[in-house]
Amino acid sequence: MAQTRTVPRDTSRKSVDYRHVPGWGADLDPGDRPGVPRERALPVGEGMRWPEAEIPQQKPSIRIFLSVERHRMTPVQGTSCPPRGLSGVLRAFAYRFGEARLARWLPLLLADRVDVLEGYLEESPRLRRSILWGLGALAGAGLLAAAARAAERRRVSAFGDR
Amino acid sequence: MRAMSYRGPRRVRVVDKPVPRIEHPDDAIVRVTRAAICGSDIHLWNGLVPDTRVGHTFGHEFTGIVEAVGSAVRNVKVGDRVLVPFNIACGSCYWCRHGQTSSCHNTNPNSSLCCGIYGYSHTTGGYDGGQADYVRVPFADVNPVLIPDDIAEDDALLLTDACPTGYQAAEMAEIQEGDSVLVFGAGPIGMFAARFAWLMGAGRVVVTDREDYRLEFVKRWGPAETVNFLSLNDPVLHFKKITDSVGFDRVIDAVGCDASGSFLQTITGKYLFLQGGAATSLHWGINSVRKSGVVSIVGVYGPPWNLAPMGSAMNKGLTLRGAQCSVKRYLPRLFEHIREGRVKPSELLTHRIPLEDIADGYHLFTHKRDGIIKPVVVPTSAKAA
Repeated sequence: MAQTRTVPRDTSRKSVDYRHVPGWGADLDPGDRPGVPRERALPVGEGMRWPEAEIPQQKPSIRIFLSVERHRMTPVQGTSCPPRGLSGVLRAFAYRFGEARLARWLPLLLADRVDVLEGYLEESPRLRRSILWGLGALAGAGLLAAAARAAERRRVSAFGDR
Repeated sequence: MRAMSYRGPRRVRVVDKPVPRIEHPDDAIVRVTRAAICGSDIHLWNGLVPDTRVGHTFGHEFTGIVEAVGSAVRNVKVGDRVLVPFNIACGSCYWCRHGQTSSCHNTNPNSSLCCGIYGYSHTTGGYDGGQADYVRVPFADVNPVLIPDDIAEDDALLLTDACPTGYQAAEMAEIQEGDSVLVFGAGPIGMFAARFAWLMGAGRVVVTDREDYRLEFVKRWGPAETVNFLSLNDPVLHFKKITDSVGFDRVIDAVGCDASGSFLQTITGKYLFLQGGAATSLHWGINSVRKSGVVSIVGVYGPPWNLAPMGSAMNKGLTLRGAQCSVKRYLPRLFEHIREGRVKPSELLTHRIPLEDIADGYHLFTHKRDGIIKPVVVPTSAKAA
């Protein structure tokens, strides 16, 4: 199909004689390409499984964060990786915002990194024990410090009374 | 079953997971016989896609055998050999009814960006993917396609994403006879785009990338002229010079957010997360196309924005087109091209990796080692069968 060119052409072509490329021009006619026009309505009934309003609804087996830009839950959802821990809290926060907001996407990226740390904890009982011991030690040190401060206050107070 | 499991950026492993079950009367369970690692899986692997959760199984390109079907499924039956397009489409919404299964509105509750996609984070619905022994396939009457007897399974595997995406990229570029076409990215999709540009009547096809071995391959396979942009100070200036200062008629961006070549784009996009990945090829593409040309975008970028020269696009009067591929509407034409010998997708498959070694596969593919172009993952159950 010859086209009348209305734009300047480059004259420096050094490529192969394109008409010898296997299959050259098999889809030359733009009107005969599968995605042209972009929106091509299928005949009514063809390929349709259900009228849209009658598609059965999947029962969610995990917590699904529905985008605030959607007015209802989709008939099907993925069932992978339910939200958990602090990362889940961050994800819940992020999904309160619209998709054009940075507040939607940055907390999700942060949640992804927190999720990785939670994954380490989940994988390693030793790391979990170490962290529990560490937290216990910190709490103990805190209690001791608080007790020491209280004792000091009592001592100062007793001294003042005298 | 055994399944790939994401553990964090650049870290995956194979773990035991429960076999997926029928969750909806239109579901099917497919036993995976071939899966692929896609260039866009690398974006996930690098942790660039928001809401990629630890434990998620990637893989949106796979073929397999139907193992179980829900009570409402009529079009496929247990034992059928199927290829499964990466789009999860309901077949009933406005977009599905108009051929745009990639925009299905009924399968992705988490965002309104696009349809649900297997193994591609919770931003696309949170469905586990096909780099596993089994996978759940929703709307089994709409999505899986029977593999014809005369189509090899390795060819069918690439019809689930890479090959039709390359075709749609060329189609969206609105190529006319004699057009010059510049393709950014010599990955499988860029290579398919180069091949299909010829089928649509291109007069000149140039592919640019940073990997010499891939450029060598596409030079023969496309065929195409090739340019390694690492050898150039100013790639855009070079592309103008080789087109008599006009620019290319059509440009295809088959790279996306993991692009290299610009320090600023890389730092802000890939390390500081100030934009949805590095938009280097999009930036170069808009500047390399001629006035009133077309830029076709199939490279994946993350939300919420990117640094791209919209002023140039407006002043030059460009048409920018982009979309996830609506795979299903391209399959009949692609079967025909395979049968006629115009394209042989499996020629791009260079490595066959057991599922148990998939972590090595990701490293190999990401770092472009050992001449890799496209790896096939063979699940444990497929090897045993």
